Amino acid sequence: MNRNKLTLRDYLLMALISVVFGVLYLMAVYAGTALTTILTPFGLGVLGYEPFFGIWFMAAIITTYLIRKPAVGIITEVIAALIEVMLGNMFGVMVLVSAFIQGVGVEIPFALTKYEKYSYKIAMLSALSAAVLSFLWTGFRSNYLAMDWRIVATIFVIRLLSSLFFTGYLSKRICDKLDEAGILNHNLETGEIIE
Amino acid sequence: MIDSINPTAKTIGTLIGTLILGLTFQWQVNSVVALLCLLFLVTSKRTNPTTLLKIMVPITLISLSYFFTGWIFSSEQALFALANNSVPSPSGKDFVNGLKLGTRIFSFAMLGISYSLTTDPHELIASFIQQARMPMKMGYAILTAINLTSLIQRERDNSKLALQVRNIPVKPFDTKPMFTMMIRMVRWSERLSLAMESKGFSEDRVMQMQMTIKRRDILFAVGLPMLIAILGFAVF
Repeated sequence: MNRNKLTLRDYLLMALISVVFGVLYLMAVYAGTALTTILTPFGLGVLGYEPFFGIWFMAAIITTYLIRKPAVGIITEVIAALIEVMLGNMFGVMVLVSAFIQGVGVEIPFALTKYEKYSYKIAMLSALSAAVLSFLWTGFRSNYLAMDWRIVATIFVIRLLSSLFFTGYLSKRICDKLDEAGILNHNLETGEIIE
Repeated sequence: MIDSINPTAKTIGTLIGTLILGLTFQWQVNSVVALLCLLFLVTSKRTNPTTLLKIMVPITLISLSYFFTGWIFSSEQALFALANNSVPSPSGKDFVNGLKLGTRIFSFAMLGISYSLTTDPHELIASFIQQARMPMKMGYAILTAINLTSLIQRERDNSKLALQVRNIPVKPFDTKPMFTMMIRMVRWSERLSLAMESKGFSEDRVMQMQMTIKRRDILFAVGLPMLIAILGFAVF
């Protein structure tokens, strides 16, 4: 495990990637709002944002892959949330809690491998744990107990599928391409860090 | 009124208040909290009425969507329908269930915007560094990224354009411009950190903006959660 302290470069990379994903988050918000509008008259508006939920975990998994130090996923999510709050996110301080929980979700499988394995299997597990933890949190926030269990089950299934696609598959694909381009300062085969 | 509250105290007060609000399930409490937040927003000099109206549209829409889901698909109604093997039809009780869910989301969002629209980003970071022990590197990295937002957006448009001039189509969630942006961000982070450190940036940096905690900040951090708790567990 790379136990070196986070450097200014690491923090800058996390913050810059958070802004890049901020644009994607905004697109997801527009798409989610449009879908919510269509589904609201049928009582299914709560499902509107679910197909895009995995996008919110992407920044954390990408920076964890790029920096490979403990707590990077959590810090990235918190930085992204702080940036969203500063730009006027409508859920304000609540986003910080959501971000922390999502970051923990992304981080757990990598932490269990001591930040040494970055395979598709670990990325998929990361997507799964992020979906489960975020589901528990939004369940408390939105009081899922007051809803029909079939709606709650649908929320979970759509969120899981979204997470597996955006976080487990797409993020890992982008990271592998970055690795192929030779811009990472880690050698995947030997685990060596090139400073 | 809320503008002068120390951002760390405001964060703590709003965060604990939100969590306590999450433990209450009365639509009356949600409505009172939403009204209180509206008062914060109206009395704030930082709130732009146009921005507020623009944000209120999605908030109302999301609250409405939760209202309809709570009304049409309430848990009690689902259990009843399952027991009687019949098609569910919403009743007055389900309407209250929808009202509880809709106002819950609305009050959370109102607490959220009364925090984000009335907090200055520079004061927030300075306060987090000075009062919440946020690492200096993290604080300045966030400010750097915020200041580079428009440049990053322009870079993203340029990378999309670069693909389009080569006759490569770019779809809304395409990874190609994202991949280009990732490479640029890795390079930018290296160059920016070198530039900042060569100018003497370190954890010992002295900040011009000094944030302090006053009595009214503590009063806000303790008072808001207490008020919500009293409303939720004693009054309604």
